[in-house]
Amino acid sequence: MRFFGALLLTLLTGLSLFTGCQGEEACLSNQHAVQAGLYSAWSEADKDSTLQDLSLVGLDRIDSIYANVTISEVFMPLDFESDTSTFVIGVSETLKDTLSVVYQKELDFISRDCGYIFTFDIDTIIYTNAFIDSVAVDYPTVKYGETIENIKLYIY
Amino acid sequence: MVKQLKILSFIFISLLFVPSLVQAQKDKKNNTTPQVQGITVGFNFEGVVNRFFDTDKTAFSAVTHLNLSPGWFFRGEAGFENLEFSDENAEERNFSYESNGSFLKAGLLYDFFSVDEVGNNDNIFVGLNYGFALQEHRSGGYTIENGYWEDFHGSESAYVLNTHWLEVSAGPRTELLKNLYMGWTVNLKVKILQDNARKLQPYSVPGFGNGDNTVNVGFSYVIEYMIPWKK
Repeated sequence: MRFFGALLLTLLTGLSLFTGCQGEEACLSNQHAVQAGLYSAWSEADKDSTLQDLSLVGLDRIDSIYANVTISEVFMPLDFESDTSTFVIGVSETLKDTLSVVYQKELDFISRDCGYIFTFDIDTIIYTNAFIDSVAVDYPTVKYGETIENIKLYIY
Repeated sequence: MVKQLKILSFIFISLLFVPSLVQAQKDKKNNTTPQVQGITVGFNFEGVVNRFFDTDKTAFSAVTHLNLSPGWFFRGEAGFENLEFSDENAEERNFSYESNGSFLKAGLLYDFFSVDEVGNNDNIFVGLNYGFALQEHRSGGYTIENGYWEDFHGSESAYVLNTHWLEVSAGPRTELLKNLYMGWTVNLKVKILQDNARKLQPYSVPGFGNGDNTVNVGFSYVIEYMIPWKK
């Protein structure tokens, strides 16, 4: 009984310390988009390029992902219900390309606070050539928490 | 800053033990009365306390200490934990979750406060335990939000998984009334093996705690009654 008082006090302090250290994880959003950098097709070395009035919309979708923006990097969200996501990318009413990202997807459990997410592995990119010269897959994995450029779009 | 103050106050209050310990060691030299031997049956209030902070969880465990030889104790614990997300939490986390499981812990404790003062049966334990949990869990439904295309809805059916861990524990125990003990321990738990968790990591592992972590720190608060067999 000699240290009962100290024991109780320490217990209560320990309890408050322990409960104070419990925190919830911050969950990231929009972690399912292909990150595409824009590069000049005329330069031998990779050189960043910026497009003006760029618009990006999913095929058969009404809402735009980008509408008339000046940008050097685009994020293209992938469709969970399909193995191919197709986008129409344009810089004017007449100059447009269609770009399809073909991928495999795998369901992953991220954490108890953030739940599930898909991880994607890009197989190939199919595209038209109105103003896109070529496309290179640099890093095929689209994964939660990673911010690595996945593809390079070389534009005329 | 608040956390630092809490840690400092915890250390400061823990220092209150030191004079008692020193005095006890002095007493030890003058007395040779052997410690009471017996087996205890008790209740761990950790689950009850945790319910104040997580109302989705219900847990209960029973604890026993067995005095093997002077200074050495066997510690055993068995319990269960049921968890089901409330509607509010399921919506916030984008998935529903249920888990039912049981756990066992067994280990050895050393009492380095083995004072021989007459009538003093207090202890300060340091020990190593092995823990094993068996649980069945499922996600009745989850949503992955897309923001542009359609959201994805799925579910994960119930399956069983095992978790094994080692636990280093330390803390005091005092005799409140004759043969009635109260004690607490700080427990450092290290997961050593878990099977079948890839599809769905457990939100909480019975007896271990946060299922995301490899290392967890926990408290146990035990009240127990000793059935003595030898003095």
